Amino acid sequence: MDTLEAARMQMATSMIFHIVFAAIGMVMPFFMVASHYMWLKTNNSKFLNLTKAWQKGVAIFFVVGAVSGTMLSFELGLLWPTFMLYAGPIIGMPFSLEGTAFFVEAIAFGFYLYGWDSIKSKWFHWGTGLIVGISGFSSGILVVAANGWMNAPSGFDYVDGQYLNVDPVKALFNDAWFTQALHMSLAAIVAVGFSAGGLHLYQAYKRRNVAFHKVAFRISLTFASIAAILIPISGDISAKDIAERQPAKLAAMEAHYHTTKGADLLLGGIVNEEKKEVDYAVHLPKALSFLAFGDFDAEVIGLDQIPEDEHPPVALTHYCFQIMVGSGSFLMVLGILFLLSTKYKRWQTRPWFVYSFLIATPLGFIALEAGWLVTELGRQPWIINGIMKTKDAVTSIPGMQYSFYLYFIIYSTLSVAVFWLMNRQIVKINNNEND
Amino acid sequence: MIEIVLAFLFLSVLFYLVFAGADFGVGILELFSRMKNKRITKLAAYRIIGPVWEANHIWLILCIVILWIAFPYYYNIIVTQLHIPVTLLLVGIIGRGTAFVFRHYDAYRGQSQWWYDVVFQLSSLVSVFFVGVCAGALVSGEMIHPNDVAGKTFLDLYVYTWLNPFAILMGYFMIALTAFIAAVFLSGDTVGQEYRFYLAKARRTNIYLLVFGGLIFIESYIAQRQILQLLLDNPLFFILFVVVGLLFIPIWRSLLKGNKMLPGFVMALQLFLILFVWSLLAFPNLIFVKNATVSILDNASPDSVFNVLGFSLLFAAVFVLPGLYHLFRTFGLLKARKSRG
Repeated sequence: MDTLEAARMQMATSMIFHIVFAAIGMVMPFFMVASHYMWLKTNNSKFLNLTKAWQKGVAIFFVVGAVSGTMLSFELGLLWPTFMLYAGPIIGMPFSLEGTAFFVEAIAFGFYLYGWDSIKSKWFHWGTGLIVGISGFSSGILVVAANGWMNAPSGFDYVDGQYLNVDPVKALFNDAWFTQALHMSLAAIVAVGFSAGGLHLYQAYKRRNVAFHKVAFRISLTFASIAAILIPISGDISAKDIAERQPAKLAAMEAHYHTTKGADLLLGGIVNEEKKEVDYAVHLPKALSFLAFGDFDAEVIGLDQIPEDEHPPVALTHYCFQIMVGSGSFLMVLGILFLLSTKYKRWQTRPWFVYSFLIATPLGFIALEAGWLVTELGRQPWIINGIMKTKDAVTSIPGMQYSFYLYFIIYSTLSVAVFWLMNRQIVKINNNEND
Repeated sequence: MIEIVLAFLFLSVLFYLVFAGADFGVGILELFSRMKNKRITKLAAYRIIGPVWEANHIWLILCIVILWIAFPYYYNIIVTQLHIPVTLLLVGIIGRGTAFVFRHYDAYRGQSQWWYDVVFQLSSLVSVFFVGVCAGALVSGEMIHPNDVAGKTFLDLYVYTWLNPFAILMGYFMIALTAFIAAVFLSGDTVGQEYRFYLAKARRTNIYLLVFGGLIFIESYIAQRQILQLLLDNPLFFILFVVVGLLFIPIWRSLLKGNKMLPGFVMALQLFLILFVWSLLAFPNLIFVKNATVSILDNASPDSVFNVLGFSLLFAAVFVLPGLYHLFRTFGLLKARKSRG
């Protein structure tokens, strides 16, 4: 493993790990606050128990997200010093604002967690929880905006290898920030909502602390189902955006090798990178042209128009894209099913319904990770699209593979630990040992 | 704007040292406590640092974000040549944060608590040690100027830059310092048996602090470090030395009287003075490389970046500082202690 590979593997490992916690940190506080609101309105203790249970979950996930985020902010410099040397000042603005949002979140969370007894006004206390949610969500959007800049670099003039006339505000509001932030925000709600909802519904189905888990399922899915129905729209906006700005990425997502008018959309299939073909795929005639440009006969640039040394890894990007779209579509159907089940209440106790949601538990996160892999792999070999290549940004220190092994061990251990802790929380709740 | 950005950089270093230092110090005190006393340290830790510790650690993020936005060239030297100790510092940070929360929020108390304790205590020690090592490395004069790296070996560039007696002693010094900070804050916040326990800790760590301070002085004299020369050449340093030394008197008088706010405040003043005079004397040459210095202002970012950063920081201060103040106040960290049992 050379330095570049090791650095990329380490970055991927760190991001794959962090994104799970970041998504939970963005969304879970809203569930918690919703349940807290119900408690304040109804005085029904099941809402209080749920709020406190979710609060513990949020505390654990928040801290793991915070420390892995701290590590990532260092890793940007440790792994990609040349990138940070030039890009740091340009994309500093979202990061400094994100730091602020994170600060506000930590302060509000201190109030919320420890303030159950010491804060007199119960609505002020509730409000601190809401601030946790708002600032967590803003943090996520700001970091995604910084990533957007890597896809759509703006706010500077690149002249003879120099970055001149830097305008950080323009860099923040780059062309990709909105579509990416919208898609990620919805994806985070879908991932967290379905995963929490699925787990709670299954517990209720198994007749463990039923009232508690049913409420939890309803709150989670109310958020998640709406997001799941909206997400294809934001996906469509993103695809059109990418088609225009990063044709190589779109071509890799679709394994679209040959430039054609009226291009087919491929579903599934096995990519043969050597022959530049896709076997066993289902072709939807002209659908790619329509989805990318809103015109069935539009020309879609294939990889043949992109210099060979600027091709992203096609097979991996294509598979990840298929996984994302497949999981997302399944979750959209479940979202509709949930909304219908609020009318046909009996469904919620039927095995087919429960097991569909149980299967969906990890799917949102799988889609989220796959989507980020598409974003990052599809941009390769660039770290700043069209400006700086990833291999030119990497650190000069040898032996990076040991660093990667170390991070890998830490993140795997932490993943196991968090799963184990969450399991213990559920066991405790099911034994009705609320505190 | 550059003054505002530098002021925030200074403040974030100072606040990280004082507040996160206290948090790390709690873990170190716990590590060096007898078994029967560990319960005391654990309870006090939750009551006093529980609500605020997360916020305290964000000063570090602020600090590095300012560095990379405003002084990318300077930041670049740190993250390349100090890659190894920074990585080890991160391992400490992640271990400490997660263990602290896990041991509090684990649904059941059992065997696992032992693991959380061990990780919490050891990673507190590791984090602080490497903060000290990195700080020491920057001024040790063993770092290498970026124009000078050609022909240097792996060891020269990535190991000897920080694995030298000065930086290692700074690591130990930082352990003693954060433990002292924690002991002073906690003895101000506790009563009875807890108070006596922390008072004893403060006494012991204060001695270690002086011992390691003396060793650093001797080492830099023997190795003829530039930093010592800079300090000795300047009369301001002697005034600082005397004032900081004298300030130990009010710290100990108020500690023994059981005053809550004063000892911590005077100690923070000491740290402020040390950092301030140091910045004043060394500025802008904050990295000492072999036979030379590196200015923090070298290749600093353009004005447009400083303007946006400065306004962002001021904007942040409007939200964060009042929030922090209320957080500390709400949880009784700014109130006078009621009575001693």
